[in-house]
Formats: sequence, C-alpha cells, structure tokens
Amino acid sequence: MNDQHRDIERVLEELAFDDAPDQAHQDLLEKQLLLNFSAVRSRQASQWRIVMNKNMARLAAAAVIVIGVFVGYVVFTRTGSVSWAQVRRQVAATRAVAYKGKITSTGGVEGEFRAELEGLVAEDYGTRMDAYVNGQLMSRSFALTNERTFVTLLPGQKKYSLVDLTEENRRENADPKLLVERFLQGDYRPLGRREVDGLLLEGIESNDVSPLAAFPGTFIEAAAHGEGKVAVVGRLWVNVATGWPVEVTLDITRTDSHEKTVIVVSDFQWDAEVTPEMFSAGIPDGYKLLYKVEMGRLESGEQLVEGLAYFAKINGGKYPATLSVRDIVGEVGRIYSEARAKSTDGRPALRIDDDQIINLKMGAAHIGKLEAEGKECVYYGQTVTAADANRVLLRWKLDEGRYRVIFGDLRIEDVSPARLAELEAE
Amino acid sequence: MSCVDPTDRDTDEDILIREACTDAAAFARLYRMHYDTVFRYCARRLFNRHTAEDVTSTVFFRAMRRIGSFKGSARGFRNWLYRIATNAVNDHLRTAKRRAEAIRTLAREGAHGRVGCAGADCEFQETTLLVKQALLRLKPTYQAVITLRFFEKMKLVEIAEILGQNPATIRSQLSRALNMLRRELDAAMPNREVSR
Repeated sequence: MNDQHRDIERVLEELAFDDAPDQAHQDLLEKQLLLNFSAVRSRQASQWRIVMNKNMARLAAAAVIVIGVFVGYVVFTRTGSVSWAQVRRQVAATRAVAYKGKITSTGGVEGEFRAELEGLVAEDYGTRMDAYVNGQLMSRSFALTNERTFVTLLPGQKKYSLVDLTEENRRENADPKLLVERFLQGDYRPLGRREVDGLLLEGIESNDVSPLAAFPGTFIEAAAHGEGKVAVVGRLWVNVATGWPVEVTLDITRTDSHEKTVIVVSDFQWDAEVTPEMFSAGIPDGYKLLYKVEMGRLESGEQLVEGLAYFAKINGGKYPATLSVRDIVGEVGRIYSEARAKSTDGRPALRIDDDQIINLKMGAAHIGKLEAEGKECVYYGQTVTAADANRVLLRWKLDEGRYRVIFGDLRIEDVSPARLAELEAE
Repeated sequence: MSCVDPTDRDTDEDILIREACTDAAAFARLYRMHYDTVFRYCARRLFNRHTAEDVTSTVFFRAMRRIGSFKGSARGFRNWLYRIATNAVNDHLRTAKRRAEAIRTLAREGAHGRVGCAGADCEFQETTLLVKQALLRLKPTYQAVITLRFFEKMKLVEIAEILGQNPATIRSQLSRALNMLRRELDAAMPNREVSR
C-alpha cells in the first residue's frame, strides 16, 4: 500500500497460522463428494424450498425478520452523528414498544402473499406478535423473557406449535447490550431527508445487517429461507424533531429465485404501556399441538430417530430412500395408497400418525440444514434397513471434528474419523 | 471454458475441468489439486481448523453444484474457487453471533497457548491473538481483501478478478480495511506500538 500502512502491514506479514491441511479430512470429504456427485449435480432445489412454500412458515419467517431487523436497526451505532447516537440512546432506554407492519411477498410459486402484523416488545416480558391475513387473525406468537419456548397459536385451526429456545437465545433476547454489540459492525448510507404528513424525516440505508441476529425463532427462519439465501436492503427513518424512529422498510430478495418480500414497519408507540396479561401465552382449551421442536432432540438426532422408527414400522423395516422432505411426503403417500388398495371395505387399513411424520420431516429438514452448512452428511437409506443393526444409516460431522452416527438399529453414537472410516468400509 | 465449449488450446486442467462437469473421478482429481489452497485460505480467514474444514466442505459442494456454469481457463478456475470460498467464509461470518463465537474460541485457544510461555514470546503470542481477533471483528469483505493481499500474497489485479471489482476499487477497499484494522487494534492495545 503506502507508508501510512507500513507498520500494520508488517504486523500482518508476521502472523502465523494453524493451516496445515489434514489428510484424513481431505480423504473423507473426497469420499463424500464422490458419494453425492450424481445427486448434487442433478438436484434443482433444496428441501428448504418445500417448507418455504407453506404460507405459515413464510409468515412466521417474515414475522421473525421484522423483529430481528427492527431491533437491529434501532440500536446500531458507529455513526459519528450526534442525532443517530441520540436515537440509539433513546431507543435503548425504552422499556416497551408497540408497532404495526405490512408484508408483501411476490414472485413465489403461490403468487402474491400479503399479511399485516401487530407487534409488542417489552423488556420485562418478551415479544408478542399477531399476524393477520385478509383481516383475520392467522397466528399469535410469543417469545417470553422467562420462558424457553417460542409459542405460536393458530386460532383458525385451533392448533399451536412450540419451538424450544436455547439458553443462549433466551439470554440474548433479554440483553439489549448484546444486541447492540451485534450491530456495531454495520455500515450504512445516509438517505437524506423527506417530509411525510408534515413530519420531517431523516433516513439511512443498509444492506449489511443480518435480519435475524440475536432473536429467538431463528430455527423457523432457517427452515423457511435457508441460510445465506436472502439479501436484505433496509431503510430506517426517524423523526428529525423528536429523534424517534417512525418507519423501517426492508426489501428482502432471495438470491436463488425471483421471490421478493417487502416489509414496512411503522406506527411505533415508544414506551408503550404493557401489562402481564398482554404476554399470557397460555394454550386455549381445545387447541391441539401441531408440532413441537425441541432443539436438543432435533440437534442430537433423537427427533429424526423417532420418525425413522415409525416410518420403518409402516414400511416393512425399510427407511426412507432419501431425507428430502419432498421424497418423504411422496413415500408416505405411496404407503398410504398401498394400504388403502389392500383394504376390502374401502377404508385404509393404516392410519398415518401425523405427529411421527412431523418428527421425521423436522428431523430430515434439520439434516438438510446441516448438509447446507457442509457438515458432511451422508445417508444410506437406500441400502440400510432396520435389520442392519450395525451398519451406518446416517452420519454427520460435529463441531469438534468427531462424527455422529445413526446405525441401522437407530442407536446414536459419536465416533472418531478413523472409526467412521472402518464402519463405512464394513 | 465451459462444459460444452472445448477449444484447441486446452491444457490438461482445462480438459479436466470440462470432464468434471459429468465425471466424478475428474472432479475428484480437480478437488485434490485445489484442496490445500482452499483449506489454507479458509483457515487464514477463520483462524480455526475445524471451522475451516467445514467451510472447505461447503466450498467444494458449491463448486460441484456450479461447475457447469464455470467459464474460463485453469487459472481462472483457481480464482473461481477463491471467489466461492470468499463467499462461503463471508456467509459464515455474516452473523455477528458466529463472529463473536470465533473471537471467543480464539481467546480460549490463545489462553491455552500462553500457558508456560514467558517474556517476548508471550507478548508475541498475545499480539498475534489480538490481531486475529481484530481481523474477525472487521466486516467480512474487508477481512477478505486483507487476507487475499497479505496472507495469500496476491496482487491487486488478482484480488480484483476474484472479487469481481476493478483494481482501483480494491486499492481503496484495502486502504479502508487497513484503517478499520488500525482502529480495532488501537482499541485493543491502546498502550502498544504495534499499530503506530
């Protein structure tokens, strides 16, 4: 560069790295690439797409995005501007805020999708969000400060879902300082000023903010979008006279399709009055559980194992041929059709257990997520059955370099790379 | 170079790249040729070999999916892999949560490394740790430019090719990145000479 940076260049040139390649990893990855070559080269879409196509998942994802980005924008700093520092201080000092939002999604397979949101965020209680479609309350979600579960009620279906939060999620949600830290790295551009309804607003624009950082429910987002698949351009407008944010807009574009979602959040009530009753997340009488995601069971593979056990039970000991959610749905449909064909009175001899199929789909979707993260997932469902007790049915790499293996008899063990190589050679 | 566009000036690697679109063995050969480069680059960006291995896996899976769209020479192929790796690492570091975790992990490993060291050696290790942590705190795009320039020893024109920018833009990005790094280091080591 130049003399100005000579000293820092010297520091960089003296750095040492732990970067010697490991032959064992190289060999294992090569094997995995070869195993997946045909499938990967021909695959057109990931299983996340299937989840994304469901209105509920899209809505939930969008809802989570609204809160995540909203919180992110209003607290991020490093501006050098007195007015933006003031915005940050004011917002950081508030105990609760209410707001409204509008979501418009276009370019998806289901055409245009619109929803409206009403959100409430209170430091003492957590978050509540109501989502409306065509004026009807479609869902009410809670992520409470003192709870470890993300609860969603679906009044139209009289059902509810539960998603576990990790302790880390819970703490992050309750600690605004951590949120501030997450957004300190953000860059933005000034948008200048504009007048709306007699108010003078000043804005900034950024595409450098992760829309979901530090907010519980990111599992839903991951299922709906797939990590790294969206680009976000956000704009924040504040009232010049008061320094309070009045509008946040987000243009969210999927990088692998023409699908685009625009979210406008406005009508803020800063320091809104809240009561504990507003955050009462009790399940109303008569509501049935739609699904439950326990992150511990999901990440350990136990939820998948439960679903696989059920699938093998109704499929003569054979596991699904692949862990693509689309393929699983197709296979379950085939099993059901065959059972009905065998029936003499027109009623199917088999009743599908939806809870177990949800276990299987959730578990499979999680494996798809691990695969997208490069966790070296290999599934042998086409050749390994329940009778192959000691053969590897599925494996993936853990963070510390070992591998988690699910065997044909569905027991779960963690093994070293060398042991995995032996097992797979068998 | 593309999967359906052979020319009469093809090198062996050009041919291999073409074959790798449909032939797993050819892809495996290409993989073996470039594994070290990709892994080292990831390790020099992430400062953690397990994470670097994971991201390296992502890079080659992405390359396998997209190799049909690659157009260029064998040298271009290496840069194409660098571009995929840059995006994969940036994706990995895009969430502040992961950056924070990487910084914490580095600190833990640094603490282990300092046990038993003394004097100048200890100070050098601590400086190294702080510089790596400062690099992780940078916006991933800035960190990428610094890594390509100083650790991969690339010329601005090569970096520009990898990142799809012009060399002048890269020059200014690099200058900005170094300024940001200096600011991070000044904050981390206010009483030292390292960044003065």
